[in-house]
This record gives sequence, structure tokens and C-alpha cells, in this order.
Amino acid sequence: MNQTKYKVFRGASGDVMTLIAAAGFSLFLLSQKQAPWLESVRQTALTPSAYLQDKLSWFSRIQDVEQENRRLMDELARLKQTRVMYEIAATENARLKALLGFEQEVPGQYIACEVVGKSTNGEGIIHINRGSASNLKKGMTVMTDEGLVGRIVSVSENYAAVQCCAGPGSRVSARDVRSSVVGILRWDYGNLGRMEQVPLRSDIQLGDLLVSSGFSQFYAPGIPVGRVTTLDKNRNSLFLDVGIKFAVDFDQLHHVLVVQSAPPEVLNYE
Amino acid sequence: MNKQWRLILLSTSLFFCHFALSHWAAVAGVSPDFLFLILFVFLTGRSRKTMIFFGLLLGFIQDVSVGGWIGCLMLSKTAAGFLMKTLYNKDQPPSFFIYSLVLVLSMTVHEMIRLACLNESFHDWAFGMLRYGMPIVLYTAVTGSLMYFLLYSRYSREFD
Repeated sequence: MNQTKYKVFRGASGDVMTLIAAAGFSLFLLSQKQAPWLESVRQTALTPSAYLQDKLSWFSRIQDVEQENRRLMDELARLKQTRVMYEIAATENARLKALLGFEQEVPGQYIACEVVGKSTNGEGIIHINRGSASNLKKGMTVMTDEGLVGRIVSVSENYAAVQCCAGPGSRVSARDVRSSVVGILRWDYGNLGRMEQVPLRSDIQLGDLLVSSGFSQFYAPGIPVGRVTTLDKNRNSLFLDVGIKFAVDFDQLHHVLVVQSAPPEVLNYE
Repeated sequence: MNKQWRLILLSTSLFFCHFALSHWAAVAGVSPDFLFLILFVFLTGRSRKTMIFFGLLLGFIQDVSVGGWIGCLMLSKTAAGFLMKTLYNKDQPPSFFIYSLVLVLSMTVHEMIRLACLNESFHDWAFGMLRYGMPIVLYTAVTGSLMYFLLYSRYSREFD
């Protein structure tokens, strides 16, 4: 009878030693997060895990595809209308450039990728279906037509892991397009975040567009990151409390673009 | 059905759910931790050391499947495995109340450690617990409670 009673303390020292060893090993791996050997482990493990996510989540993606189809149909209708306007403007632009002797701009190079896996529960990491075989490298900027998504943190031959700018510990140096005020964006939750280090007297307004500043070594400059949604002045602080909404809806990511090289004025700010 | 086979089948299903259904099952960016539930499947009939090793292994699988920092989920799952076996160190099936209690407590500790690894300040950790930690605990607990009937109900025991 007593054999089946609670055995909380029985053999506890051995178990505690095992726990300490296992926890110590985990902490050691955590402390080595930038070590090259751990990076190679991550790269090796990325292929099977992203492959599994890619192959197993096909039916859950059908629902997403349906929604995306609807969104794309709406966008297509809108773009058809605007295309005519742009064609006229492009013809006019080319004619004027030729007249003024401007050189042709170098087009940016992007690699379109499909999102095959997303981490939920606030980790802010996605997996995409391109890797080193498509010339993707660690540190490359990832974006959509709406704005900045994040940067590649790990690459295997056919897959890559992307750390979204809406994730814990992520920081983006951003600039207000209208006033050129620079601050640091950090994620709060969902698609919301904060802009930090903005001095009290800065000329920043609700609705202002924020783009990547180019001061960061991680992100290409000029990519829309979000818009200012709230402004609060705290008397006890030297800085403004600026709330922002990220430009990209991270819950609706299906396709992304990896920036290989981009012309500086690649994106329209407003 | 043999109990061992039932456990293997349930674990395989949860493993499949982790890779296939996590995104689909997400509500407001929160989904159940299916790999934690695999650990919980082996609550009875295993030693504390085995649970620690299971936690370490499942944490490693989850760490590499997320693609972020390796070690974070290893640490939290190892501690959760140890804790759940410390709270319930019996071989016979637990009552539903005890099962739920152990599930919620061990999952809470799991989330506390996971978010402590991910966040830099106490404020961020506390906010993360409120926004992600507790909803994940509740969602996983609800999913895990459904699992109780597969594991320990009279119906399933008749097949042992």
C-alpha cells in the first residue's frame, strides 16, 4: 500500500541531480546562441522541421488560401484601375527622363518565397520555402508589398527561418517620413508596438508613416514598418510614449519577398 | 487496444498536430502546446528521470522546429517534466481534478520559464504572461482535459 503513496522525496537527490544536469545543458545551449557550431545544428534541423511543416500543414493552409484568393481578387480589381494611370505616368516619365538624359535605374532584386510554417505563441518566427540553394543568406531583409517582415536568422539548403520584427527581443531603427524623427521600434503584442527614444519635443503626429532608417545593420533602409497610432506625453519621462501599428499583418503572411538588393527609393512612402 | 500502443498513437497524433494544426488551431495568436501534451501523456508509469529526459528531447524538437533559440523550450519542458512527476508520482490513473491541477500547474511553470528566456525585462515577462502565457495555459489545459478521457476513461481502460 505504502509503495503507491506519494513518493515525492524518494530518490529525490538523483532526480534533482538529473534535473540540474539537464537544466544546465539547456542553459549552456541558450548561452551559446550565437556560436557557429550551434548555428550549424540549427541549419541541419531546419530542413526536416520546415519540410514537415510544409508537407503536413497543407490542409490547414487551404483555408488561408481561400481568404488570400478573395483578398487578391479585390486587390486585382483595384490594381487594374490604377495600372492604366501608371502606364500613362510611366510613358510620360520615360519621355521626360530621355529628355533630361537621366540614367536608367537599377531594378531591385527580390526573391519571392512562400511561408510554410509559423510559430504561434508569441515567438515571432516564420519558415519560408527557399534557402541557400536560392542564394538566401543569414541577415537578409524580408518584406512584403505592405512593409517590413523581419530578417533571416537561419538558412538551410531549401528553407530559411525568419525572425519577424513583431517578436520578443526584436528592435528596428525607424524614421518618421514626415519629420525625419528617428526612434527604436519594439514589439508589444499582435501587430502593435512602441517607438522608443523619441524626444518629447519631436514633431511626430498620429498617422505618420515610419520606415526603416538604414542606421541598423540588419534592415535595408526605406521599407515601411508601421504607422503611429497613439501619442502620450509622460511628465516623468524625457521621451514620448509612441504607440505604433506594424504595416504588415503578421497573422496573414502567406508570401514574402527576400531583399537581395534594392534601389534606395524602391518604395513609395505615402 | 494495448495501453502502450494507445500512448504511442496518441503521442504520434499530438506530434502531427504540432506541425500540422498549430497555426490552424491558433486563436488570437495562441495555440495549445501539443508537445507539452505528449510529455503529459506519459505522466503515469514513468520515473522522474524518464520525464526529465522526455522533456529535454521534446523541448529540443520544439526548439529546432521553431527555429529560434535552442535551449529555451528544453529548459522549460525539462522543468515541467520534473514538476509534473513531483506533483503526481503514482502509477495508477489520477482523478480528473488532480489531472487538471497537475496539468495547469506544470504548464504555468513551463510558460513562466519559456517567457523568462524570451523576454529581457520583468515588465515584458509579466506582460507576456498576461497576453500569451495564461491563455496558452488555459488553451492547453482544455485540450489536455479532452485527452484525459482518451487516456484514463473507463471506456479506454476496458481495452487494456
